[in-house]
Amino acid sequence: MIIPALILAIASAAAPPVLRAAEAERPAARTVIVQVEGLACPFCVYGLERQFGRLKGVERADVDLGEGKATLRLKPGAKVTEAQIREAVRKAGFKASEIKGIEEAGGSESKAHTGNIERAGDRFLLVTSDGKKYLLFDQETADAEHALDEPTRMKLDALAKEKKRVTVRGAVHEHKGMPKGLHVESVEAAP
Amino acid sequence: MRRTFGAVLALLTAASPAFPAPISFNTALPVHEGGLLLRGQGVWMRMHDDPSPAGREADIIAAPTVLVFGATSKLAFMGVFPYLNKALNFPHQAPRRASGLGDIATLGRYEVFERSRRGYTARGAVSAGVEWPTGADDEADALGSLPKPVQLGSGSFDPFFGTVWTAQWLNLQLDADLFYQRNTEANDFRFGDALAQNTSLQYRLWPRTLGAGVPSYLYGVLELNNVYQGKNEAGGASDPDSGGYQLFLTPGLQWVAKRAVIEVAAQLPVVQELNGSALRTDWRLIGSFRVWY
Repeated sequence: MIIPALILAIASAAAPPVLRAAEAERPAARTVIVQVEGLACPFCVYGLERQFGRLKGVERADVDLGEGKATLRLKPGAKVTEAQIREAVRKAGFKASEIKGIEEAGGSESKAHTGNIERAGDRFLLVTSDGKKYLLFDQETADAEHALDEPTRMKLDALAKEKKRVTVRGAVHEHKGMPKGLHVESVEAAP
Repeated sequence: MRRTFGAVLALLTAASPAFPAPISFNTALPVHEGGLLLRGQGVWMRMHDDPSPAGREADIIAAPTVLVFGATSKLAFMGVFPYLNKALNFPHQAPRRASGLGDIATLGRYEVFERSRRGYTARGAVSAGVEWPTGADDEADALGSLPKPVQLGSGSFDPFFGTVWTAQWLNLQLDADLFYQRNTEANDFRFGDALAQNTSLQYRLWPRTLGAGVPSYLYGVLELNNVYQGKNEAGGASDPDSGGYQLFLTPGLQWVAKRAVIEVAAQLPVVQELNGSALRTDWRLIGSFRVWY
């Protein structure tokens, strides 16, 4: 039993420090971390866990009372939205001040984003008036590289050249170290 | 005969606490939507201090069962179902006893104030309810009808209302309430109205530092319970040997886990300015549990 543990220790020690720091900062895949305001006694935690347990996509909820934090492990393939999580916390009598990992978990909701299309090498960005940048895609490939199908690519290329304001509707997807990804559902000229 | 323990009766069947907080009264902490909480409580009240030469001694065992339902996170409804065993003893005489279901109380509580941040919450709530005449008020023994304070119920609909405020940190909690009960007349008798003000401090004794997850707490509890009750009225005349003011100091211990609370406390009289020869309280012992369903 000692040898596997030793190998594990060596393996984790051998990981690049930057990568390990990034992993520590980033929630594990399919988990969502919720910062809860007002949680201060063990008896109050039960109601919070019950409300999280009523969300269909939540497999397990672990609360850290001292940190006021709930870690939700989602069921494979399940989708839980930020609004559902905030509502669950509200029903328990508390407030969710911050929700981390919801976009990685596919819980981001489709919204309209308005700005200009810009080219960045082979890729296209939507740059909003307040300076936010979203990497546009409509396909996720097997190697997790995001891509655009040809008609969408041509349309975005034309809009980039025309420098017209457009409204892109889609769900935002978090990317560490890169602009957020925006899964394009529709592109229209902004009113 | 009427010179007995009206003030205690009001306390017994008034809004017994059921939320995770003070031992002898309520709190403003939330009940989650759809949550159901059960509280079982046992209270032994001993009143053997009779200022009159009659040598009366009274003992009351009360076992209220409390159910709380969270309609929303701000609105909770509560029902208090008391089982009572009352005994009034006189020297050289058989005790006068009654036991059974007392007056059921139902109430609603609505949160009107809330400020929270990480590890802290402050809340305020208003509450109102009614005590229903479900307890028998016509019990009798070989000596005839039992005195009104020994009866299980008042026979009257008695509304009450008040407010409760709570501030809770990870290591301590403060609660304070103010409640008024208007007792109405039944069978030509009316218990004096009651005004109660309670304050509670709960301090986490263990664990000294919080680890990960949800550790259980051991709280040390210290409460101050002020009760003022007006004089009873019988046949339109007030009873000079009833009502008055009492202040209790209530130390206790409370074990709080995620799903259950177990607690014990002793209510010790500090001030008893009771009218005439109303019976004085020696002490009250409280033990209870609370469980989430």
